[in-house]
Amino acid sequence: MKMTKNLFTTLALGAVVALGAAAFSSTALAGDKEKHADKPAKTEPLAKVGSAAPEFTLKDTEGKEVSLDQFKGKIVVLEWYNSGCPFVVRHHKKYNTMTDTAKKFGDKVVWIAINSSAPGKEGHGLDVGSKKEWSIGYPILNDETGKVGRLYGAKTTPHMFVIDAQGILRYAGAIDNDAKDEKSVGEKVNYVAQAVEEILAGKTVSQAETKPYGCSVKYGS
Amino acid sequence: MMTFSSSSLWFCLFGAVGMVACASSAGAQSPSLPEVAPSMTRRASNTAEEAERAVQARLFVESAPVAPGSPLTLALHFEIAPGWNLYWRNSGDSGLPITVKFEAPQGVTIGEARWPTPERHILPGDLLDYAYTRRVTLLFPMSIDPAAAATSTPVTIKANAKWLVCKEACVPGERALEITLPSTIEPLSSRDAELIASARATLPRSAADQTSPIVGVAWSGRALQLSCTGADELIFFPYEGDAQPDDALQNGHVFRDRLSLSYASAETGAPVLGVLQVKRLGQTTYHLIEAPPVPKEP
Repeated sequence: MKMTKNLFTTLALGAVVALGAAAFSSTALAGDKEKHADKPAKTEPLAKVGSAAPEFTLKDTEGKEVSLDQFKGKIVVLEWYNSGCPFVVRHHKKYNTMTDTAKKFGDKVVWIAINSSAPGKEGHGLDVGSKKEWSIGYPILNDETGKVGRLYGAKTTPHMFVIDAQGILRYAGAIDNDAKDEKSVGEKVNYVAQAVEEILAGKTVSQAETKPYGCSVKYGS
Repeated sequence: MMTFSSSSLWFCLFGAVGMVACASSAGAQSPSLPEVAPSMTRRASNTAEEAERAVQARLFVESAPVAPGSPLTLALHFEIAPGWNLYWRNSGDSGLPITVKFEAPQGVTIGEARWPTPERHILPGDLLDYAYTRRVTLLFPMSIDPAAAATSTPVTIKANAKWLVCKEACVPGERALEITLPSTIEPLSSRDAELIASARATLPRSAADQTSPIVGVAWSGRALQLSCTGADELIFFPYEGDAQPDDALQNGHVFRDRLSLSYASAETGAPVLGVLQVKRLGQTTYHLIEAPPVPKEP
């Protein structure tokens, strides 16, 4: 509880700084190119590999609330999701990377997709349709305020996070080592599968942080 | 949605002042980009059609082979519709670099791409991308072996260019291009000459360039210190690779004569390369930075 309170204090502080920056430099925050000296306020993500994963509660496509803390004792994988993003399409349609990896670990792993697209932006409001079209068997949570995405520092879709049974964030980064989709099956490394296997074997995650690739998460300004 | 102010339009149209330049590795890759977004909504298919029209790609050579064996420059030019952008060799937090695969007759050698320096694009959520808007011309050094050239005229070069073009939404694009080198000398149109000149104006100078202002490169612990006496503005564009600064968004662009970037989370020994854009005495210049590898933890 104490941690939650701290998180909110930091969030509130971050929001004040962000508002200040918005007034000072609306162009930078609106995604335009930089034109002048003022810098955007940086709200440090609170998720850190090796530390407790930030708690959250969001609603799934059926309106049911899903909280991270209800899965204590299980490994949880978070997948940042936007059905309009070609990289998400790649891993749900061209390859079934996400579904196959989730199935591989069965009930040892809880897999959750999170969509942080703001209203009016790409991928917002399309989760029911894409879940059905791509036969996604796990929940897709609505984070249209971007609050949870910012908590985790989610940059791209997909951007993956693996949390161990004790609630510690153990992996953050790309789904695999093939951003350009040019590697053969033998050359590909599925970083999420690797992290989960290592956690299950009681080992240290060998590649705990990688550079995520994909479309930008479509946060609101 | 991105919008263009009159000042950014000015920069784009008259290119040379602030934006472009550098060196690269697009040569032999053959990536396959993601599929087009699903047309689950009309919005998605409209976006795909708009994206298809958003990028015009064209190949041209700087000059016809004057003498067999003389070096040439092959240019790959992109016209980008307003609001859309392509990506530099390091796309930043999101996006994907342009890639080109060439097919040329025996004896024709095409070197690695030289990339004009991009712009910093800051997106909601503290994301930093390195992108091109309006237009960009990638330059490729090319040479033709005289012995081979004699047996294969005309020389036809094929290029398969792939990219991710974004305007809020992202859509992959691909174009097969072809050029047959003219055997007679044809001067470039003034427009093409200008495109090449604009691209060259922003390529980084090597560290050995004697005309460069003195650029200081040093490590202080795990922080890379770049300085240039008398500079009014410095921007660092890191090349792709494992060693990326932790704080490029906050500290990669300063209005003073030194900048400091933290590589605290980078792997020890990783090479650090990039382009430093320097504004000094009213002039903007571009410098290749080859820093010593990331040092050990202090």
